[in-house]
Amino acid sequence: MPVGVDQHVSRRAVLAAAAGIAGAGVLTACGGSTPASGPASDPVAAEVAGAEQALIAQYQAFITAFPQLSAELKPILDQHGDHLKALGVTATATASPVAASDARTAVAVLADVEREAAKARRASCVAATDPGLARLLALIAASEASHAPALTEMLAT
Amino acid sequence: MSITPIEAAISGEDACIYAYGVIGSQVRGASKARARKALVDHRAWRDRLQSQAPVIVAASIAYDFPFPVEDAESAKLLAVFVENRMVGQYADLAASAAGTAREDAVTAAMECATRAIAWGGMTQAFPQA
Repeated sequence: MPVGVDQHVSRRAVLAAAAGIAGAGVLTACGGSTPASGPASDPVAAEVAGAEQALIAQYQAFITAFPQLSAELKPILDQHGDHLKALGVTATATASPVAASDARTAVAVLADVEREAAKARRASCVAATDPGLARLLALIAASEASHAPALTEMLAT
Repeated sequence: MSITPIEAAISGEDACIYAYGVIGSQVRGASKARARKALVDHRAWRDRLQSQAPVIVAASIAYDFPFPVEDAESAKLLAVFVENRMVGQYADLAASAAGTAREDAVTAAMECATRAIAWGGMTQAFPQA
């Protein structure tokens, strides 16, 4: 199956956006003296929720475009839904889904997106002021890091 | 007497190191190489944590496994179990640490969850054993 020539451009675009890397401002935004009253009021949680919503939209777009991936992508999609739910924030996606030329490219894009997302969650974890949120973000980072090899295994079969 | 998250993480790494000795004796080929690499990596994290801990944590002489480990299949299940278990311990450590120590704890959690997949584990929203 041919790999689309725009693959790298697509990947980069989705990496910057869906992983929610562009959130350096959060580091200073949460330095106030108001104690966190749960994730809902936390700017770090809000930013991660937006990135999770973008990931969910990306999985949904690829499942729609390539229904043959549905059985394998759905469990991971649901896990991102669980991440979003645990953050307790209603979010709007921070990026629009990108397209892929074929199913294999879509899976490779998702593996890259998950790796970048895990690193972004680690940065958010370090920025978090609430210990409970830090613990949650550590678990989400671990989950997303584990999605990458699970997706890569799909390419091997 | 309760132990701190860093002491718990060191004890968890000691259990991993012990487990990988057993796992390595039961698997062959690429799995043996994977077990050896995991053993070295867990030892490195253990030493790093110990260098930052206020107290010296002693390893146990032996550990009880949650199920009998007597062939390659059960050895791989044990690897998935100990890796996923460590994710929770590193998440606890991340919650109690700050700055570089917290970042390291998350990195370690990411590595453990990734190894669990390599050993045949399923992905989880919140990795746990």
